[in-house]
Amino acid sequence: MTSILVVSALAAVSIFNGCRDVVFNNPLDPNASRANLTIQRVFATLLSGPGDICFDGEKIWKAGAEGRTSAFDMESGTAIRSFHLIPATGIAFLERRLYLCGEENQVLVYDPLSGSLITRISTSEVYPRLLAARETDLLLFDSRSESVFSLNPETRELQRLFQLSGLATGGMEFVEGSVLISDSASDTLYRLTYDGAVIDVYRSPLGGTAGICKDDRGYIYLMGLDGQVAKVTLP
Amino acid sequence: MGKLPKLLCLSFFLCTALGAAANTSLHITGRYFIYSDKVKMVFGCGDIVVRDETLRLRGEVLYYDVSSRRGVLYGGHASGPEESGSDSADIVYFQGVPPRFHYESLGERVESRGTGAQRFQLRKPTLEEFRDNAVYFEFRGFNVDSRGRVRAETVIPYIMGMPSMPMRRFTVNRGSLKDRTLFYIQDLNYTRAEGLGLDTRLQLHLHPLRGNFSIIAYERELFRLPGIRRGLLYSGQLALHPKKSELLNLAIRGNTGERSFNLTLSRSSRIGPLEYKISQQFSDRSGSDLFSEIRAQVILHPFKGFQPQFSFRYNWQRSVAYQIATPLELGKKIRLNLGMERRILREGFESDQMELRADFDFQSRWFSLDSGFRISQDMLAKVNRKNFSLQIPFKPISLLGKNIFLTFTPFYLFNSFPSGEESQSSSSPGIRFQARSRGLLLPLGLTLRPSFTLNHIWDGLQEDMTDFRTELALVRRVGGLELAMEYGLASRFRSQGFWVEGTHTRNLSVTGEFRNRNGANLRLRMIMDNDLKPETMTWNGQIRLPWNLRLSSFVIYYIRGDRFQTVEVFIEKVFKHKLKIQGGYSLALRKFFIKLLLV
Repeated sequence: MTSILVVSALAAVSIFNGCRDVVFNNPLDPNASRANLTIQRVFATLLSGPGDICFDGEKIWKAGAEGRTSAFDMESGTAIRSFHLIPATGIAFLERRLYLCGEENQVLVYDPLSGSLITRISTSEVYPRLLAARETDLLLFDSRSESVFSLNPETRELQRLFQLSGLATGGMEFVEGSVLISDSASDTLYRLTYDGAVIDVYRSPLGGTAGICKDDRGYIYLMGLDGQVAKVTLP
Repeated sequence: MGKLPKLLCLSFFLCTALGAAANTSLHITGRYFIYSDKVKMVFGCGDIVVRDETLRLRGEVLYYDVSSRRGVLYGGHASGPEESGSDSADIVYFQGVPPRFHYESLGERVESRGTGAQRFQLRKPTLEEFRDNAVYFEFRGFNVDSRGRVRAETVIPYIMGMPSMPMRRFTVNRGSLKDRTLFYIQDLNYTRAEGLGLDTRLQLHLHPLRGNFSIIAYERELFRLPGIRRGLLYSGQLALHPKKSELLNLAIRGNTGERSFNLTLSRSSRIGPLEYKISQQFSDRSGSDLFSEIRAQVILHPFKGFQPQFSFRYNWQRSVAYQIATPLELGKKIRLNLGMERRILREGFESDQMELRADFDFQSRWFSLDSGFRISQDMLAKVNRKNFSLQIPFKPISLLGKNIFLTFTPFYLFNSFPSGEESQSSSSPGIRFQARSRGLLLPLGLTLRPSFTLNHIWDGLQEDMTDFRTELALVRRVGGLELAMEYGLASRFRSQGFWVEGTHTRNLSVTGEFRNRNGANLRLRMIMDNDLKPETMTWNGQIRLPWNLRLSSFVIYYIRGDRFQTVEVFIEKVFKHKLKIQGGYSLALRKFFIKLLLV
């Protein structure tokens, strides 16, 4: 009870003292909080269920396992656009195109303005479940071999990067030269190098993290199965 | 003399046939109708008359679903073949050919005809939805037969929004085409970035073959666009049905532009308690080897609630994988699933993975238990990953006349994963406690709605932490105005250094909402940033104007970025409480719009 009162009092003090990302901190070790994933904001959307998310420069798109792909405002969570495309688990936005994948050995490319199918990229023995856009290519998580591949959408060249088995993968994103992947079974986020070495492990603030994306200011957005979105920063 | 009876008989048969034909069609006229094959509905307005041999329905607005042959007529009345004896009705529901109908006045049933005639829900697309398609038709009347074939009169087809050659009669929908072989255009798209795309469909029904195919032809070179010049995107499935059951299924898809295809042959059936599915897949694309894989799945149904399964997949001399699962469900209270999977791949790289998993769920009157255990072992690198999770949510407790709710959930997480040449593990028990209130009355007419969550984890991975999530909403109502302040804070007690740190989860926001009896509803919400400066503003407003007009608006504005995320401003008018016309501007659609809606 005492700790609750202390926290409540500190919360009240923080509001009246003006707000920072970290409202109050240990004065003897002000960078202590930076060792962990820090929540910036939490907001709710009406888009629940499995399916990764991606950022297109101004809004966030969510793939829907039931076939509906929707875009929502990243500040208020309001739905802005919606298309009935394919049942999808992975989604990425690269060079004005929306890339979607389900549980088949293909990546489908759509026009984000009209929702029309532009092309279909066959991936043969690779069954992409998750997608993430890198600078000029895509990262994809193959559910058949449980490995991460890179795919060049122009040349269709596939290259295996590393294996990552035993995870209930929820979402994947490319973050500053590394890959961020969520494990929805243990509510954990793994940050990995391109050879699969673990750089960092974070506890996810959401139960059942279904999607991850990064905006142009470097904030990470985590989306839960219940439609809640947490805007966080990495240490 | 012998010719006269024949002539009479022929005339009789001809009249009967014509009469029967007339009986099985419905004739609908009016001032304006619109139809699009993508929407599969007809919308009409102005002096609508629906008639067959025995019935005449009149109204002002019509929605007619061609697929189900059901229609709704607003603002009119139903009568017999002549005008006498008509009854006024607000809404008439009719279905089938010849129609069964049901009509209502002021929400009460006035009369029904035919079995099963009743009220039903019908989708009401806007005019924009009709006109948003590459091809649509405007006309003055139409006939519908019992198969749903729609033959329109005085028709103007619109292609890419432009009117084309008017026609006296034209079949705009061919009706139920089940069990027929067809090839038709589904859509025509053109975008400046991607060029021209023609989407066609093939429905095949040649005994013993049944299939559906989508073929999209795209052209880019003509518009001097980069990338693949032209090609076909095709996909579909073909089933072999020599008798009632399906013998073989063939699924195919490909892209001629990148010279790729995927072909899957499959068969599934059930023999007594044994259900099976086998498939053979071939996949190829330019620059890669042919990929060929056999898959098989066997499911046993020995008794209710138990379905052991065995799955197998084999890529010739390259990879093999098999999986066993034993889902067991006892009385919907206990669920147990034990399983294992082994995957050996040699496809340019070597991989050998073994996975064991067990899930157990249990439900009782006071609590439920969810647990899962998984071991994944890399058989080549001899490293493994282990996960175990357990949570026991107790049933919520309500206090003070269901004003306060308390929930309590103990949980345990174990995680072990390879990190470099070693492995890291964490064993983390924890508890989650939540208390929330519907509202506490404070002085000055203020109401406080707090919600508090405590989440403590004895973290084996990092350090022990206690997380507090506090959500506060302070509400004050003055007449029709409701002012609310909302704030969310996440704070964390860290045992290291014995200190508390906090971050905002929901930034401070101020909301003002005004409602009055004249139908005004204005809501302004300002969300502050971390420095308590305005960051985002959302506005939602409706005001009633003279002549029964209503002004509505919806805005999201980023104050810091000085730009609108979305703007919707429109004026609407409702006619006779049924028909709504909206006109305004949408930033999301990037255009001015006019919509016709039924309310």
